[in-house]
Amino acid sequence: MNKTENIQSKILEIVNANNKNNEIMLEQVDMELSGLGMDSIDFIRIIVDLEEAFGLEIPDEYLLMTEMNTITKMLNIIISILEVSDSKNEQIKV
Amino acid sequence: MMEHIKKDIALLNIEQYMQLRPVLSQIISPYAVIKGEALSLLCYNKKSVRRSQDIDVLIERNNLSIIEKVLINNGFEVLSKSSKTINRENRIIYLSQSHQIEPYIKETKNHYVQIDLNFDIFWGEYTSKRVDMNEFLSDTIEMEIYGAKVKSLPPLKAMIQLILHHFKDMNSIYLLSTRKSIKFDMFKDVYYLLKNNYEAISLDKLYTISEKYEIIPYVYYILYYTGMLFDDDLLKKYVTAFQTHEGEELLNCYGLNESERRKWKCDFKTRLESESTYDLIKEFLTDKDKEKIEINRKVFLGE
Repeated sequence: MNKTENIQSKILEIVNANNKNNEIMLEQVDMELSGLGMDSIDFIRIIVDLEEAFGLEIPDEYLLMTEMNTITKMLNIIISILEVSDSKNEQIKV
Repeated sequence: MMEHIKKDIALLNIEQYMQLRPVLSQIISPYAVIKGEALSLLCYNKKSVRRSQDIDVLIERNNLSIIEKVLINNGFEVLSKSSKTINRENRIIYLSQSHQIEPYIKETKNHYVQIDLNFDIFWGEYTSKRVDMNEFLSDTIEMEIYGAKVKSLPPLKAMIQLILHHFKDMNSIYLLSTRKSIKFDMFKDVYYLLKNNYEAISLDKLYTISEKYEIIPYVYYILYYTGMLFDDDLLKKYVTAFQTHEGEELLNCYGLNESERRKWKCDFKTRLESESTYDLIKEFLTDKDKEKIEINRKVFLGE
């Protein structure tokens, strides 16, 4: 598995652990999570767990169910935060 | 006794705007002081008709952290109702479930001054198209309140903000369960805002902007109930123009989203006069509703 697949797999694991109503499969990464049983309370728990698992803080503008309502959207946001963080670390090293 | 309370509130209001003045002068991004005295001036052409213990400022979500820094630099700090430290989980709940963040307060010689930063005119779980706050704040008007020059919403935008705010208050199961959130004064504000700003909030203008923001059923909902309390031919025209099937469907329901939406088992008069709307809905709450109310109580009320 490459880095993106690893991140996606971890997101799926976290979402499924918090969404008791349905197990979300890899083929469903672009489907709206609210349609797959995620409610506002699940959403809060998912965000808290994602931040803890990846050691990051999701910026204010993304903390909305509509902004992170698919696995793919979550993946893209987390990758972009990790990339910014990696690039800052690189600059510090230089 | 009443005179004493009025004087104390007036002193608090003066103090609030005195403390707000340097904060606003340092905010370079778009903002509007909403509700409270700003709305009182628009609705009634005079201050202090609406009682408020805090000042609400509407900003764009992306500018939150910059404006929070301005508040901190001016001696304000977060009033965390749920724990002594600023809790990340609380922040996530405020940002995803609410339209504002935890209040900022500043202790002065005689008062606590509280500022609420609002970053949206919709409720947190709203899933349809949101309104771009930069656009919404693009035509603010200037007004002077207790010696402070502040930017506020023009009457038309103030009406949109007020309608969505009232719809949220009348439909949130959390608010219905924790306070009297259907009050006569809410409709009085809507009525006088319309009546005293008839040209700025003409039927054409209100309809056009409501259509653009895709909120016609919510506008109908609030105007319909305002019309039940204020018999006015002008208002009747608005109610008729905004009538849609979707709006009609909302009238006798509560709940901010499809999964929470239920039919009221009592009429509007009973809801309006009830001291405890919780008593009217408690037997219909699901376990999920109760869990959500419990979480919100902890975060927003510190219970």
